Amino acid sequence: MLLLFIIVPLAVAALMPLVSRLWKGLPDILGVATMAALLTLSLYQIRLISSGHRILWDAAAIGLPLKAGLMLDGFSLLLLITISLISLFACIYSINYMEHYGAKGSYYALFLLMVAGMNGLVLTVDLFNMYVFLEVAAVASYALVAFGQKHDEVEAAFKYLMLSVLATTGILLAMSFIYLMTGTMNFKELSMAVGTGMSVKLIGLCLALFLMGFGLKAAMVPFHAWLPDAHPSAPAPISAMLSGVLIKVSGIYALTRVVYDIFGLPASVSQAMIWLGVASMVIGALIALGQNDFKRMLAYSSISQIGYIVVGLGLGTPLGIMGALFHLFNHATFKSLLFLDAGATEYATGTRDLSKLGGVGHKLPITSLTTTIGTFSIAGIPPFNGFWSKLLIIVALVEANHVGVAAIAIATSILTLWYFLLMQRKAFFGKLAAGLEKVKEVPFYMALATFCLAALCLLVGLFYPWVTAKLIQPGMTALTNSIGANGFSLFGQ
Amino acid sequence: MDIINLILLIMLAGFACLAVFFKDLLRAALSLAFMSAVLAVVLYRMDSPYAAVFELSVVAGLITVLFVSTIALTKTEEAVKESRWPMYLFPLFLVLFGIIDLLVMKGLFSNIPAGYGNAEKSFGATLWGIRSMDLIGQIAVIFGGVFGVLALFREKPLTAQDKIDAEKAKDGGHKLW
Amino acid sequence: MVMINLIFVGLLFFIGLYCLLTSRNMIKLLIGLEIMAKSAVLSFITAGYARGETFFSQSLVITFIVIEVSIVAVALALVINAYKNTGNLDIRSLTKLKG
Repeated sequence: MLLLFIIVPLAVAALMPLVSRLWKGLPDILGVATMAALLTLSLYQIRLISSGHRILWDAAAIGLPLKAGLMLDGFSLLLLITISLISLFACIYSINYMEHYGAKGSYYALFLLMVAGMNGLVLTVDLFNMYVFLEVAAVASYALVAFGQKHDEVEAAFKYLMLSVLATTGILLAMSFIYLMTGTMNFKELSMAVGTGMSVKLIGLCLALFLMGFGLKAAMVPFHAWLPDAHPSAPAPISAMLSGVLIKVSGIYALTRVVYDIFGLPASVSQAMIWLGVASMVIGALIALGQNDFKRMLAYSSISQIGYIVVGLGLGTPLGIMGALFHLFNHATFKSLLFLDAGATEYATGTRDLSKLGGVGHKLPITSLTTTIGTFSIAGIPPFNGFWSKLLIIVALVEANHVGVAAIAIATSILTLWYFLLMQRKAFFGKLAAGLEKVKEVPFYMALATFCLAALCLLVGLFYPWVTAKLIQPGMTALTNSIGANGFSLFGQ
Repeated sequence: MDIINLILLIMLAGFACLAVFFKDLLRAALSLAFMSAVLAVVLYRMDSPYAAVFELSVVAGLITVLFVSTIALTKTEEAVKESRWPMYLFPLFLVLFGIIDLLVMKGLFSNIPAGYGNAEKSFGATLWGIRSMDLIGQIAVIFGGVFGVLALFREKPLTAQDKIDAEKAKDGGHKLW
Repeated sequence: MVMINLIFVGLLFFIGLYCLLTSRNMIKLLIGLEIMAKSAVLSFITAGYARGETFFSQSLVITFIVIEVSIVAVALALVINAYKNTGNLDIRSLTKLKG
């Protein structure tokens, strides 16, 4: 059953080049249909997971003599739903947006491979297998960032590839050391073997390599150099996928799985994560303030928002984890919404330079409305969804006696509101800039995707008790259990 | 102490240094291929014949072919200007790091557990039975490579920007930015 | 044998990293990455040999080699694309974007 999440996108991706020859519209339909099916399938799992269970899938269950397993708990399910949800809207948006790029068959194939890689990553129970699926998603994303084949795009993709392979080689070395000392790659067996089999110094080295590697994947400061190039250069739906989902799955999720499930969140890592998070939060927001490129500003703002999530996960208290997971989900919705809006603005006006835009608000009513909703969500204005998750993180910080960090989080939130309002004023309000008189609203499917995501931001904000109970609570339970079950504490706690 | 192994490892590091040191890309790529070949022997001597054959055929063979064809396709008159001083400082850094490495590694891996030689049936059973999820990942990553290369070598597309430029030119021909 | 191999794993990783940090040529950067990848291969096989589980470690290494080939293929396609755009292989001519 769980295998479907990997096999279906993989199989459809393999068919893409064939079906794109048959009829031009078929890749669109097939892409959207696959993502809709995966979303339905993942929403169906809520019922099974929300009672606190975890689903284990074994190849033996379908009569294969294999020792392969997949596992779904609350934390994986949250990511699985996020992936399917954002991919579905990115796919719908691509129907119009990717028209001019050509080669839609290859585009959807790579897109689905990226989804397959991410789904595999969140379902696996094996450390090396996690690396394999990480690379599947990464290889597809390198090609997607460079999809337009323009100078900027190729440059950004090459930098992204270099830094990302450096990070994964470090991760791989850490895995090989762990394997040498413990003889297993399974999360559950590792969590028991690590404490007895490895010296404290070696665990420290491996944790440092994991923090650097996954930190680079998640674009935490100081490992963020690639993100402000790669995310703006990609086509808009891919920017939305990268910023909304990929950095969270291959950075935050993988780091959390390793640190929580295998090492049980040692105090030193908890401290390191809090400080890395604070650095990302502040530095990302400060640089975003000075940006004149719509998408580049959003990219820096992603670094800043990732900081909130890392701080919450670093705290390790139930409330902190809950806030972090909720913010992870919310950031996926509003950041992909904002990237899609930036793409829509570029599509309609031909530029994303904020100094050349101006007053297009009444020309682009839907884009302008949805951008405003995205702005309110990311800045944490009630009742939009960003407010509740930031509130949870700040309350958790105060509760854990990190009052200074909480103050920084509030200040960053105000800063976020400021630079987003600045962007709104430059792009959508005021006098119509010269040469933009003929601007028309974007085509139907692009508008539909942004509208749905904006509605989602509002609905999640309004019905947050229901969302947290169904989606976030099981994830939190899974993570707190894995700290508890781990038992052993490292470097004293 | 296994002397042959030590010699092979020194050759490995030597070819790696050559690959870094050579300014000529073709020579650097060939050093890399030799490095793979030596590594294959090292792997073979550590009871890993299957990994050795993969290293030899795929890495020393296929990847070298890819490198050499790219070097041939991107030939320019003017070579990339690089300052040479990092190369002259390289031995110094290498020795420095080697000493640190020697001291640190001894401390890190002081108590490697003895081999248990657990009950594995055969290589095939291990690869297909225990690591079958990795095989799915392999298929996916191969597709990723193929589609990635296909997408990057297609004809240059018209982007939204180009199209708008073209339309603007058709509408009235006034240059706006 | 295991200890000496691990020392060379560190050494190879350092050589690759040095190449990555000091080179300006895009293909040279990839060669640096390849050297680092070899250190990972050596590390895994050494681990498997030390534990007497060479079948297991070989399975991991074969998967890794397949991944490596895909990455190199995509990376070289990017190099050729960049070459078509700029006419040379200098990473410094790729500075339209600022870090």
